[in-house]
Amino acid sequence: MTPFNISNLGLRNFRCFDSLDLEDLRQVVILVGKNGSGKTTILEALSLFSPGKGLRSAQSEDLKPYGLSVPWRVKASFEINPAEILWLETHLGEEKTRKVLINDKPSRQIELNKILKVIWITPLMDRLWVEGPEGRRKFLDRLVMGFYPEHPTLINKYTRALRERNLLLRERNNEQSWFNAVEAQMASLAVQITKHRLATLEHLNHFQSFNSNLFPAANLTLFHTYPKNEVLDLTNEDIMREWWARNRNRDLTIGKTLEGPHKADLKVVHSLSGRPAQSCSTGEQKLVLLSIVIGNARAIAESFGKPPILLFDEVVAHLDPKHRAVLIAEITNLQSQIFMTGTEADLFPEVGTDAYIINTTDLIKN
Amino acid sequence: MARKNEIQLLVDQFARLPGLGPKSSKRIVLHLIKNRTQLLEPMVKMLENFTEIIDHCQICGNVTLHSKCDICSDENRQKNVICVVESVIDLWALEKTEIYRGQYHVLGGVLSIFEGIGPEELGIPQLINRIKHEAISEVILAMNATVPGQSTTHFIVEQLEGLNIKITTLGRGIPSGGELDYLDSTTITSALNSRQEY
Ligand SMILES: Nc1ncnc2c1ncn2[C@@H]1O[C@H](COP(=O)(O)OP(=O)(O)O)[C@@H](O)[C@H]1O
Ligand SMILES: [Mg+2]
Ligand SMILES: [Zn+2]
Repeated sequence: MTPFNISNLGLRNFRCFDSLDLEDLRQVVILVGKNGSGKTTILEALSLFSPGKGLRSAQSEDLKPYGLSVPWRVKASFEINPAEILWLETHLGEEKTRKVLINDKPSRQIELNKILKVIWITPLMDRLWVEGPEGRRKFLDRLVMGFYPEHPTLINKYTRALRERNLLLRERNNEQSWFNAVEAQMASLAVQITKHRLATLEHLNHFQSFNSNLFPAANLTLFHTYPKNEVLDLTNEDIMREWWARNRNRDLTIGKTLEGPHKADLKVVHSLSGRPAQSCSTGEQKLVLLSIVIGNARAIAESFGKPPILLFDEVVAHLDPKHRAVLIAEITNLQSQIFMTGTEADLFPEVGTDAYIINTTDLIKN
Repeated sequence: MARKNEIQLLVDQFARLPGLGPKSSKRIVLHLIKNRTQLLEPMVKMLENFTEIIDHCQICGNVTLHSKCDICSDENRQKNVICVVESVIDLWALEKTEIYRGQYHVLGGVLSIFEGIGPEELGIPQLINRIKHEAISEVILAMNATVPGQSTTHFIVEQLEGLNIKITTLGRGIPSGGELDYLDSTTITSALNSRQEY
């Protein structure tokens, strides 16, 4: 067994599973089974070993089995090495919040991020490049969290200050000192947030350059829109503060804050074709996402010292055999543990005999 | 459903207090009933007295049974330093360290447009007046490290601009988002000792 793998996984009252135990998992885990047999649900359970709402962005309440009011629970053993195993648990606590236990000790969700990193690709992400900036911004901030665990806290604080400014615009627009106070905080947070994002993109661009030619790098840049003839340096606190102060009257007529890190977008250019991701073919778009994730996995392995755990939901089955083989080779090279789903076992001939294959079709007990 | 009797209603009242749930409330009520003369009766007298005369200190906003609180009345305390806190709980946390011997000002909240709490509601103009008229040489701003707490700090600093007064904030050891009430005295002491000019 390679180090830093999840070796056992147990689910209790988690969506369609009242009880499921998977033991002695391996570095490559394949989940096959017909639609609705619980493949994504197993990946979702694993995704909860990182801070946040998991790969379906679900409310903790909704992870209970339909119609039952029992609390759900997910437990896993994370092998640092054969002699050192961490027990990770997450469950629905009182007040509908998700609780985390590390070796039975109540811990904050953010602590998980210091132990392991979990990265996923889901079919929902197919829309990432063609839809609006919000999804890409969230995607980026998740990537950032892998390198800066405190990033989500900064985002929350910034969002709170931003909402405060927007409400001031509407309700107390003559309180100049109050604006100054709120904008000062926004500026300090905006700078930290933007610096984290830029540094992350630099990591990702750098580490994608080691990708095989089959997964050509996607060039990532941070993008903000400004009014005509203006450029705004979001890494400069004074500039941001002055900007918001100067634009109070303009923002007042619209009722919200027009510029800032809450409007950031991720610009992605496919390096082979030179085209922006949104005008690539669907196949190319999938490769772009995979390139970023491979680069990210490598960057994390390097900077965090442990490769991340990868969850690929209905990704691999859509690749041709050559890409699939190279992808698996890259991931095994990185020593990342990977969980991937598909509908038929024979779609994965490239993984060889070492894989742990689970047929989910008959797992759900009723 | 049957109508609740008086005892159950009292349990419900206790359960509404911060930090108490239905279980502990039941235990408290039974305990009071059992210890009628030693606990219940003196407590009722005290509370009665409280409801009549408890008020906020007219100078600093601390809670008191007199018009001027113990701290403001204490002639041995330093008069030229004033520490601004969000709530009485924070004042108590600072008092517990026994190293701060100056004056206080309790805001009773923080700037929050969501709750409609602005500078007027917090009495910030009164605070500025007080600082101007009491020959204060240092103002310690001890608001929590939350967004609204820090906005409040920034707001007050701006109001004090141009006055020749040293403005400091609590230093090392206060975690981001941390609230004074949750910190131990050693941490607060070191934060007070390492306070920095704003
Ligand atoms: N909260 C829930 N309680 C019970 N069943 C659920 C819940 N949420 C989803 N399901 C069901 O679980 C089954 C498995 O879903 P899913 O994991 O998405 O399957 P797959 O990925 O294998 O297609 C589906 O039939 C779905 O309707
Ligand atoms: Mg699925
Ligand atoms: Zn007083």
